[in-house]
Amino acid sequence: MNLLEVNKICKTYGSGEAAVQALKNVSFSVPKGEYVAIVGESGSGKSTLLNMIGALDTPTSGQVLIDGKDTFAMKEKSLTVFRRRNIGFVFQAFNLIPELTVEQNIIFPVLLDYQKPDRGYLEELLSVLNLKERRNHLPSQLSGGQQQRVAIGRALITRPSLILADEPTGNLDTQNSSEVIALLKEASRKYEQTIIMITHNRMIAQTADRVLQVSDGVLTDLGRCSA
Amino acid sequence: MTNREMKSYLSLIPISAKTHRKQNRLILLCIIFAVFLVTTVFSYAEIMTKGEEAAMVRKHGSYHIIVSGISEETGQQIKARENVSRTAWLRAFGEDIYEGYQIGDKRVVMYGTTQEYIEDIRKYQWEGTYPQNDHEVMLNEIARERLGVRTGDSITIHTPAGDFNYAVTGFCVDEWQLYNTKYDGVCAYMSLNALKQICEANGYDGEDSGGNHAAVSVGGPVLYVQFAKECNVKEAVAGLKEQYGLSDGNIEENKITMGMAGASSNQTINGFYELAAGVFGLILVAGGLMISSCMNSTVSQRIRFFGMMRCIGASRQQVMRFVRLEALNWCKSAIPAGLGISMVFTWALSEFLQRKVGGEFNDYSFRFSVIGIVSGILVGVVTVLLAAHAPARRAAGVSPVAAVSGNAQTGGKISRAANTRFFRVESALGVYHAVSAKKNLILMSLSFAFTVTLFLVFFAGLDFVRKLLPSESNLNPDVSIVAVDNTNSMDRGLKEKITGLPGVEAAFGSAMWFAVPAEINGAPGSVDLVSYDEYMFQWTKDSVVSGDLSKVCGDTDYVLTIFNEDSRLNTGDRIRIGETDLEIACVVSEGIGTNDCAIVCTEETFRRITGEDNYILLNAQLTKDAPEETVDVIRELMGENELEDRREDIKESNSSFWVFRIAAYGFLGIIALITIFNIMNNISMSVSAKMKQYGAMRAVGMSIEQMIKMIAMEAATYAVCGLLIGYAGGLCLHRLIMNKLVYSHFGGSWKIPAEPLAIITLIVILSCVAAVRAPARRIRDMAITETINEL
Repeated sequence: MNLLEVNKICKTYGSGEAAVQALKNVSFSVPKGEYVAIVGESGSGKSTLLNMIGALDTPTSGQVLIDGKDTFAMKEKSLTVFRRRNIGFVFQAFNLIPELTVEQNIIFPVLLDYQKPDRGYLEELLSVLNLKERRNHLPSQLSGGQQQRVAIGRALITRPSLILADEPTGNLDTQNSSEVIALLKEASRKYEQTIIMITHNRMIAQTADRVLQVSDGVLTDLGRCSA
Repeated sequence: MTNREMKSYLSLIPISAKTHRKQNRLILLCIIFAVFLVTTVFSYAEIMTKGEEAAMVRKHGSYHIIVSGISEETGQQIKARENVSRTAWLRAFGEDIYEGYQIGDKRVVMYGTTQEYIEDIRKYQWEGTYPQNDHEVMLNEIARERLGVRTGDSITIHTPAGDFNYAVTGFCVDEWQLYNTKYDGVCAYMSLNALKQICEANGYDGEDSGGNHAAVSVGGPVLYVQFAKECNVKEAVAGLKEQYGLSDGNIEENKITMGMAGASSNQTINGFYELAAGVFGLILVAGGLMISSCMNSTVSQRIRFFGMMRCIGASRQQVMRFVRLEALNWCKSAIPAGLGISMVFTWALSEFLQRKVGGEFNDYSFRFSVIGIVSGILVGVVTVLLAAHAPARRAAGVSPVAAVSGNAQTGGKISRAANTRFFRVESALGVYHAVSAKKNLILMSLSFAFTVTLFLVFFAGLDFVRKLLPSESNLNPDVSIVAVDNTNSMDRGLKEKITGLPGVEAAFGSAMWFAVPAEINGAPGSVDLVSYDEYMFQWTKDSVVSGDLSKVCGDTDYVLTIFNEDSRLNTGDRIRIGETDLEIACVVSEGIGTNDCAIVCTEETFRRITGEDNYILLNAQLTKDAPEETVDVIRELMGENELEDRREDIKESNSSFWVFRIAAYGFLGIIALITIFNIMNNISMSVSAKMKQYGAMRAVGMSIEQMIKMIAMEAATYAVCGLLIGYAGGLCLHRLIMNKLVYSHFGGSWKIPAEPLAIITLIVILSCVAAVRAPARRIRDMAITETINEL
């Protein structure tokens, strides 16, 4: 069964002569548990595509179904809750909340849902992410790699079915990059989560189950990696 | 897009102003507000000053000195002096009411003078012509009403030496009727020669003809002298004295005009400008702070823009100049708008005060005030330049790299985490945002506390002023009749007669016994015994300080006392007058009584103790539209007793209370607005600085409502801290003021002022709501992707 289905997504910015088509009739689907990398030049439209999938932005036309649910048919309020529970985000700039500790940052989406975090799962995540010693530290007291691991923890805490990562290794050195990718892959397997990741790094792209390329708003499926 | 040619990088300012019109709205409002306030205050200060001057000239004349004991020739020489602009001779006769000088049955005061006196020296309003020969007179307006004469009629002045006939040539509104409404006579103005004839016929040739007008008159007419505007009046007077050998006894100064000429200080007039200058300073500081924090907020919203300018080669100075000129650019539209609104407001205010309040405000007619306009423009430009300084430096200090990478906005280092244990996470973050920046928290809390404290202090002040002004009391009479020999001799029936007159709202009477020997709690002393009728008891209810008023009813031995700092009679005190034992059942803060130790009883008790049944004092309250004839009828009814008409005084003290209220509430309004603007800006700035973080929070699942709640919690934290400090400080000061000013003089004990507390709390809550609204709208409109893409 497909977790994600993208149907004929178009996105146009501006109008008339100044109109720019960022996405042109993009369609693809991703089955549950698959790890997909999206590659492409700067300005090719990959971030726009990721924002559409994450329901952060609305397309000019087309449809995105996550778990069979049409995200753009939802009202703002229910969309926020849906996003909170079903989609995990990992950003290039980590985007942690500076006034919350590592642990608080990770459980933040659960707290927003007015739920109690699953302590066992939290401990498991902290240990997988190798952050047990740092749980009471503030983001400013962590290295870049550690901050990104916290961000991954935050993305995983609600056990979302879909994780969207926009260049998660863009701000990291090679070793930290490998660690982060390994973590994402492990999570994908362990918790049966679907990962869609934008990357510029060919090596990292090759670790994915499938690679999609966006060029001038047009998506091409490069197929499964041989590695 | 604009097609205009860009001549310099500064040409970007108007283009950028157009696109950022929305963001700049608050700054424009701040400037308009500051200009409006200052222009209004100064314009009104000028209106009041000119009005006061006009009123003073009408009341006291426009002359500077009165010279007596000089010959006609010397008078001519004085008139011809370079520094003298006008002179007029005046001889007064009958100001002390010489019996036997009458027109019809009205006593008459006669003045021998010239047209200059009426027209230039006194500036009386007049109609008709001034007497041209010795057989003509001009009468005052009262005479027209009381004698029922018209221009052209003949009148006869009866004197002990015989009758003198004159033709009436006109009427004038003189000071007798403006300020001596109690005087029951008329005035006649005639030529000097005509008055001389009357004086000579009655054997008063050269005798004292002074009186109110010219107390220094030592014989014959006196000369009123008005000096030229530009001359130094003090020196001119000294010169006159020296040249004509005049002593201090020959010269009487008009202190009012001398004061206005700067020769002596006039406190009222200087006071208006001092007050206005104070307000100017306050608005300069407050406006500066307001505009500065607004600009800071717009600068922090455009930090990337300034970074970009620095990146592409703008120097720090250029960025500073850009920000300053941008600020001045706002003045272009804000200052005229502020001036315009102020003109309309000042006009409306003076119309309102003239029509609705009247009294002294009748002289305060609207005028375009140059001082007001200049100070308005000045405050606009100066505040903007002062206010732009800090934001300009901030903009210039933006590091090009940091700005473009978007990290310039992150605040100081964070050392402690937010507490998510007790609050929900969004509330915890909101509180944390407020508490983490200590300096900001202190400033914001103090700003709220300042408003709360001042509010309570002003309320205490209003209470005090209300107590001070007798016109605000429930038992305040418009007219009072006092028994002619100051004994209880006024017939009780008079009260009923007056009550039945049209336009009389109520009439109430008192009997009094002064300095009655009495034993107070066993010790010998004396008290004043006063009786109240039912109406008076009914209105005394509101001023009970302690005890039970209901006991003082019918023929009883219970009495009440009016609070008096010196006598300090209290509830339960026992007083023995003759064979009667009385007990004080109640203390009231105000009432009609005497200045000494006064006890008040019912009419029945008074009758039993004293055996007297009549009144010493009868008061009447009139309705607003009471006809003038009512007072005339009361005059006729009262016989030989004396009438005190207090309507003018009441009107004046009412208008003073109005002014105080307008000033106090205006001041409070300014403070409240500053607080609201301040918190609005702070919240807005705080949101701007965290916009990216908010974007990320939205991406990971924070709803708009949660986000608004977070911001509201931040505002609420400032408000709660401010309210707590404000309550503490404000209540202490309120208690101090009430104890020192009100309770020590009028009695009573301090209670928590629930009403003002509720009002100020409401204002603070509303200001929080206002402060959260704008950022909430911004967050609703925020596209998550915009902030995410910048990451």
